[in-house]
Amino acid sequence: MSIVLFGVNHRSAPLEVRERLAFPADGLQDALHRLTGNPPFLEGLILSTCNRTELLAHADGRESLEGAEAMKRFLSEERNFPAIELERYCYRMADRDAVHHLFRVTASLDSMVLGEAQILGQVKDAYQAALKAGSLGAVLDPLLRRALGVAKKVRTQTGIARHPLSVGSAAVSLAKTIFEELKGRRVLLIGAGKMGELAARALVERGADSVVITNRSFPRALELSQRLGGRAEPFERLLETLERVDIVISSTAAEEPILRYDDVVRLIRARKNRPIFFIDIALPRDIEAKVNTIDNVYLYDLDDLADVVSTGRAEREAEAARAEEIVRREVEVFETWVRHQDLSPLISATRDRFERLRALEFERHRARLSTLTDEQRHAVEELTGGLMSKILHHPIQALKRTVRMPEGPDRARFFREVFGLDEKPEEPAEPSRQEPAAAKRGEDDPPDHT
Amino acid sequence: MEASLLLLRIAVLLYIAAAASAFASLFLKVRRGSAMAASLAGTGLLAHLGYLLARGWEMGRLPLEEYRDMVSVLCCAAVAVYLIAYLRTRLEVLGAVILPLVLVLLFISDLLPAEMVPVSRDLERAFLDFHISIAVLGAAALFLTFAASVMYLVQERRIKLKKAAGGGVPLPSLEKCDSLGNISLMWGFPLLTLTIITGGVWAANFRERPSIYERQETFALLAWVLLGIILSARFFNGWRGRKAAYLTILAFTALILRMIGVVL
Repeated sequence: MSIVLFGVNHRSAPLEVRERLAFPADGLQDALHRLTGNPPFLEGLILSTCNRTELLAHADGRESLEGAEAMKRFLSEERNFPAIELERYCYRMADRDAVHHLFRVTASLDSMVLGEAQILGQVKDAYQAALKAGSLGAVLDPLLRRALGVAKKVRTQTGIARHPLSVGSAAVSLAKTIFEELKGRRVLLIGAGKMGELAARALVERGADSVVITNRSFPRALELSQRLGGRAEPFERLLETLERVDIVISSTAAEEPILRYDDVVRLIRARKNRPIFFIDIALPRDIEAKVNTIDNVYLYDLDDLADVVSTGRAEREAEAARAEEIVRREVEVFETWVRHQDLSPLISATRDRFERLRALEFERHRARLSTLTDEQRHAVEELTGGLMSKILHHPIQALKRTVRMPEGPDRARFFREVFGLDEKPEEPAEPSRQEPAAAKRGEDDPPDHT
Repeated sequence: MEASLLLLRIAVLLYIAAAASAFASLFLKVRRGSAMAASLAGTGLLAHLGYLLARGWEMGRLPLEEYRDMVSVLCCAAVAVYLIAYLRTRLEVLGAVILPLVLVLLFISDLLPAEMVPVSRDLERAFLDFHISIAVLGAAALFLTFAASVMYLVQERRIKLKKAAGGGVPLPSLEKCDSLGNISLMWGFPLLTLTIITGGVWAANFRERPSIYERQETFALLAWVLLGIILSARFFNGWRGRKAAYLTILAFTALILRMIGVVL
């Protein structure tokens, strides 16, 4: 069996190239049909996002990289992109490397933003599309399900997705150290800066209640409130508004602080000590730094948030090493599974062959055995059967043991040769018996296209 | 005597193991460490209860006469409070705050002299038992208030120093610490109030030289006044935060000093 992967990602190709190679979502099914209708591909999957286009296939034939050549032709025709140019941007991988790459991608270890959650959904979508197109089978289907499982394991067992990486997620994670949950918390956005808007949006997406927007220009506040689905309040009533909110994001262009220490002391008294969280992302700052010393008042400015984000990035990178380790182990597990899959038809073919030989010998000696009583005949059958399984026991165990070793495939080949499994059977004793190995597509079958 | 002491030793060993796994869960990130701590503490609690029952059986009455017995009962109740709070909130830190304190108190109780309050009549004894029982229950509830205040102070400091987003020991949000402290105070304070009233009534009626104020009650009264101030300031003015947490810890310390018989 061979698994082939061919594609581009954000590291190997610029955006213009990735744009041209991306598959539109609605054409994915047809593309998958064309891919799998194309020898040597038996199964296929297309993962197409803004950061990558990757084709994954289970290809027939022993030389996996030949499959990659065919994939290049397919992608070139499909996306109308010169094959020669494609060579500059693409990477190709086979078998173990391809599995490893797929696991890393799904676990978000290959993402532009390490540990981001989106890619998992995108792989799921690609998997669903391929399921619908019927382009998955005995190899890619378990592979994809394993990849999704590995990603989940990485997310739960390492902190790779836990640490905040943006001002918005930093605001959310900080707010959660103060408030038990964001649900029911009111957010006030002062000023109409882009970053403030993003932070407010992040808080609302994570459950914060309503957003109140205030701005020196009231029409701007109104406009923004419509976009964020909030309410606008006049800037002059800032101090009253502050009494009714829990999280404040400030990003005005004011030269002087708009909230001073004394204001906030009065505010916290009016709030009856209910805690308030200020996020000041304005430059110069909107809120006097001394405010942070007041009990029940928490103030984070742009530098503090930047620290949170860079700590988050460092933490994620540290966690990535553990994630890579999980991926590496899982690749091994999958490889062993694949080899076991490869072995089982071989083992049953061996047993079959010996069974056939036994039947043949019985047939040959039928005349001489006809004088035996039923009991004696039964004993002879048992004797020959037992002898056969005893003889086969050790070779089969030895074969199974080599599954994890790199010389496994060579051993399997040697095994076939020793027991003559590739020879045509001498006139079948029971013509109705089906060759079980033929049921499986894989290296046992002659390639279709030869 | 020997068999019951063995039970106490088993309980102490289990508490030590529980505290160790609570710390391992926090600082070494041992998976399921805090659940392990709770199961160990729960088993320890059973052994501890067994010891107290045996002790009561020997004496033929509630083991509340000596300071060391009373502190032992208090520790037992505090572990029970920890288990209930842990099962309800699943906060990993609780064990690491409450269990070491319980252990320290158990060791102190072992050093306390076997001093008894001389009691003459049955009615007086029953009254005193009631007084001490509710004192123990109230103090056990306040263990949780104390733990909540400690967690609050650590978390608050982390946030103010802008260290909240990093890794480190997982702590509950300030709001959670605050509400946990408040709920347990709502249990502890009324019990403490009742303790002080019954104590006063007992002193006024059964003492040879009746008096409403005893020097040994200074710490208990201090604790009660402080907690009363904290509760009413919260009720009337929403008072909470760092200073309230410090005051709570002070009040709890005073109460524990009273419980182990320290006299100013």
